[in-house]
Amino acid sequence: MNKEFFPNPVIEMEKVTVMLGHNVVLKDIDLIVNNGDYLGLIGKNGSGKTTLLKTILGIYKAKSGTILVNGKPVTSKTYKEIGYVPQMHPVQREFPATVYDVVEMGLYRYGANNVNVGNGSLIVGDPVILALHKVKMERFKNRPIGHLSGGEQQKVLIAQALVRNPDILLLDEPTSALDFTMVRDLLSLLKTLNEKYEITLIVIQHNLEMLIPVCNRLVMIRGIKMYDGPPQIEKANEMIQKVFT
Amino acid sequence: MSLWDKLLNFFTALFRRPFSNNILVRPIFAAIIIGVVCSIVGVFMVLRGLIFFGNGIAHSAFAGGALGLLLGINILYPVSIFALITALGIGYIREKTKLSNETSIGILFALTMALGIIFISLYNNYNVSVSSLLFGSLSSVNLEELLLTLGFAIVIVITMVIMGKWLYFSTFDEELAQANGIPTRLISYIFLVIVALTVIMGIRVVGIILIMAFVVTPAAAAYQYTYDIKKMVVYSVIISFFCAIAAFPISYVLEISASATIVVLLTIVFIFSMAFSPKRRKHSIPEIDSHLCNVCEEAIGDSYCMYCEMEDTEESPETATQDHEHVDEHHHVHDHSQHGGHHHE
Repeated sequence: MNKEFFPNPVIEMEKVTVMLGHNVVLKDIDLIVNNGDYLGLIGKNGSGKTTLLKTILGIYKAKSGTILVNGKPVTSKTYKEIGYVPQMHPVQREFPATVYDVVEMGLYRYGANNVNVGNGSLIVGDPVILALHKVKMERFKNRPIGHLSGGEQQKVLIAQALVRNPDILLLDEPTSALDFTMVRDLLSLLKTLNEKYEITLIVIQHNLEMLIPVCNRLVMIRGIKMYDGPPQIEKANEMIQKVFT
Repeated sequence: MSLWDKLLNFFTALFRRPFSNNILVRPIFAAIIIGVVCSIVGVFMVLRGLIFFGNGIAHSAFAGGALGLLLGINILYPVSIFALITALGIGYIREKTKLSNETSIGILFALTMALGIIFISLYNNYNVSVSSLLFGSLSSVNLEELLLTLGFAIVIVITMVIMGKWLYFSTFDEELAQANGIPTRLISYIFLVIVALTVIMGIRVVGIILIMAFVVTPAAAAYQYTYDIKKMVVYSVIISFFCAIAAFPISYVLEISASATIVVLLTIVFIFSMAFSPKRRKHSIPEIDSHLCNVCEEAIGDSYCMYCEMEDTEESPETATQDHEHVDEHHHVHDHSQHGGHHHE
């Protein structure tokens, strides 16, 4: 890939191949993600989208190739710098955890990264409340997580991913199983995170009509990278014809 | 002798010389220790859906105990080996074959029970030793067993304290915990070993039939009262503690098994908790002008907000607004910080 187009790379993947068991799931993936990108990642089921995210996180090891996150090779501690929102699982209605507890879980392994305010001082405050504020959920902090709607639970999981102040956020199908209004609400929130808080986003999403207007870059994979470019509906549709048929 | 006289006798015997080889004190201490430890481990077993797993371990321990009787050795060793192999075996089968917990437990459960029956058949002397394997022998616990129980309890509680938060996170969502750097596989195996140790600790004193009631019932009762995991653990321990203490005078007066009495008391507490659980309070359908909790803005029909656990929220709307403004200040600082870049620890 031409690195001149990416002056501020936060993720650099070069010739990355990933095997799960005996299966090659990703082959020779080249991908550079620029700081501030809102990257939509699409592909049919089983095409390796989730594997790609987990490889960036360091959960899956690449068989070959190099991956750099913020200029450093991926290690088992890379997730300190990346927020991850997995596919949503149903939460037991009576599970003993409030919204606050769930967001706080993100700090169990490592504390919050400090945010420099430019004059040498650091933000003082409860990182859980700050994260909940970013997703406009601070007033729900005492609610049991199982009592929230699917969209609200998804926002809490995003707050959990944000609680360590990461520069990069990976989201695996955040809008699946949500109704139209909740999807619109969530996409608007992601746009705010991207523009206002300058968080680089990689979002797996199936609904192209809702993804294309908000992202600035579209990547389509099917084991290999099929498309990487601007989010144009015509090109995307052309690739979909190739990928899905 | 009237029931009252028997009760008086019990307390006279208990407090005459409580620390001088008193045969009442040791069982009470053993019951409290086992009850408290089981209730802590039980909270996570209930939340992780591992009750059937615990039963599987208890039955494999029965096979170990039967082998111990057959060979004429201390049953602690074969019980420990069988329980630990079964616990780790279930975890390994689940991980390698992707079979559900129930399937792998079902396979090993049947195998260990079959082995237990074979060992008992070969032993050919079904007597009080076999009976104590099934129902325990709380009233005849000796000092060595009490100290051993205490040793197991210390190891289990320390391990639970050390890994409690990580265990809680991986219980909530294993994938999410893994993505946040929690070693979920290790935590899962350690917890399986903890369950096995809990069964090994309790089997000699309360038996395989009743041990699971010590684990499940107080946790299930505590589950009815709160959405806070710490409170759930504390309530579970309190329920176990008081049931263990209350059971002894009752069992003494009625001349019945103490461990069985504890289980009955725990079950009564559970039924009471289920019936009067705050989680099952009926909430009236919120009306347009219904009272709103000032903290979480949930519409509450009466003066109780179940989410904030407050009878009447005292925080005024003005205070709530100030809080939001306070957050906005941080927010403003944060916005500014984005231009300065992030500084990672």
